[in-house]
Amino acid sequence: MGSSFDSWDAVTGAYYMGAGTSWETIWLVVSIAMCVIALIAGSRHELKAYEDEENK
Amino acid sequence: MEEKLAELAAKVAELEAKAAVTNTMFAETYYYLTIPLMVIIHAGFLAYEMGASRQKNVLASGIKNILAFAFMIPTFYYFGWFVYWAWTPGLIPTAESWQTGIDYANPIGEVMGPNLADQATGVFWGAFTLFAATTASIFSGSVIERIQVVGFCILAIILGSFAWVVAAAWGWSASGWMVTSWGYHDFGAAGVVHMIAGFFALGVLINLGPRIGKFNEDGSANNIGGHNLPFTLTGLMLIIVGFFGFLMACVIVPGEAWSWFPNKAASIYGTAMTLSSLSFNILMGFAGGIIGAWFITRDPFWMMSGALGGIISCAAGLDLYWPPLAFAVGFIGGAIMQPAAKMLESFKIDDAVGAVTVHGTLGAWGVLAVGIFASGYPALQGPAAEVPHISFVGQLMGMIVMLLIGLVPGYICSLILNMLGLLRVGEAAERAGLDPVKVPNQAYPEGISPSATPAE
Repeated sequence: MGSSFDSWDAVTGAYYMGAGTSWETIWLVVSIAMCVIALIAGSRHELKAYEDEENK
Repeated sequence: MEEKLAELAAKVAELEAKAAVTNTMFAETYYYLTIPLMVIIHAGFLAYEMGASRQKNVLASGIKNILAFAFMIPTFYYFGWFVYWAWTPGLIPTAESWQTGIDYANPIGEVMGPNLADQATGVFWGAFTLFAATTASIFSGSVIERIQVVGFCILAIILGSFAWVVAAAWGWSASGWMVTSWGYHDFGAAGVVHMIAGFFALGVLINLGPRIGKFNEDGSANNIGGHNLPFTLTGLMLIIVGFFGFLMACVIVPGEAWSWFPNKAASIYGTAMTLSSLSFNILMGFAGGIIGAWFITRDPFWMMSGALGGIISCAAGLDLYWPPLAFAVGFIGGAIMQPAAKMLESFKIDDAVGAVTVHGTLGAWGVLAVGIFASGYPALQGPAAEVPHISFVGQLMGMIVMLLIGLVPGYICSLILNMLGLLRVGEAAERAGLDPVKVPNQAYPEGISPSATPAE
């Protein structure tokens, strides 16, 4: 992703990786997707566990 | 002479710059430290819930509590913080309030990341995220031993990153419409956190139903004891430790561009506030709650719940009460807890840890108590003729709004999850215990030995 400045002396505001670029949106979407996928996988796991217990 | 004056002016400017840096670092550190203090609330809720669970459900209850905390953090980053700034005018944000949300909480903007020009947003967001996680943890205990973990997480996100935040925007912000219109006063969030979480839990419990074996056919209730009451009591004490951080974070420190005043602390409404007033009234309310609960019940579970209940009873007016009055308000809260819990049980509501009573009912008492005892105080900073004043009617209306913002989303969202099959665990799993059914670990792999008396 690189950096837009070569020296810390020039930094007065935002300094995180990808500041002011589309990387902000990309990582936001990626992190939201991780939450959603984790919830879906978690739900599948527990519903299967309940079903297995019912069928014992 | 002129040279000396210039030298003096330069020195003064240098000292002013140093003082400004010190003040900014103090302000940043002040709110930063409230965050780990509030994490202690979650250590407490974790212990409280696991202790209140039966052995077969201990880890499942722990997982649920940990996930509530974990999901609250990203969701409060994505939209919770934005809601606080954008939803102040009412149900629908205006263009102006929406822009305020963009300015202060845009999750794809520079304000929400490492930024040398902004040493406040991160720590404020952190503190509010922990407030949000607290609401989710309050709700968490009431539904243990029979709720699905993902259904629970969805409900926790709705509560912690939306419902209570709307309430906070309306009643816990100097520009909130309940404050500017009704003079609603809720310094320590008796309504906006405790009532919302307590009544949200009630809405969910109506759809979730009681644990198997809780009620008999004739309608009488059985006591389903947790497996470790000492653990629960220790958890409650930890929650109280954490609440000192929670309430500390309700103070606006002086001297910054965003402060109310250059030289004195204030409440979130810009009204008079000192940390000493918190020390007086939190401790007196805490003691009043314990003694009130002991007076009625003699039961250590309710006594420690009474400590929390006493603080919640005083929370809305911690900035205004005379300490002996705070004690009395806390005492009344502690005394009414168990009768209120029994009344709830008579409606066949199985609230496993008394969250509806301790947070919902006592939160309502706390909001009303300010209306009874502090009517007439200015509710906002500003000229006497222009600011609203605290009144019993304003607090009563506020209490009704808080009840609805908690109860309605809790009921509707859990009803939808129930229809989708995502609310309650299967009956066989509930009977067998959630730990053996779905948790790949054991709480007590070597078992727990029963007590042996000296005679044995």
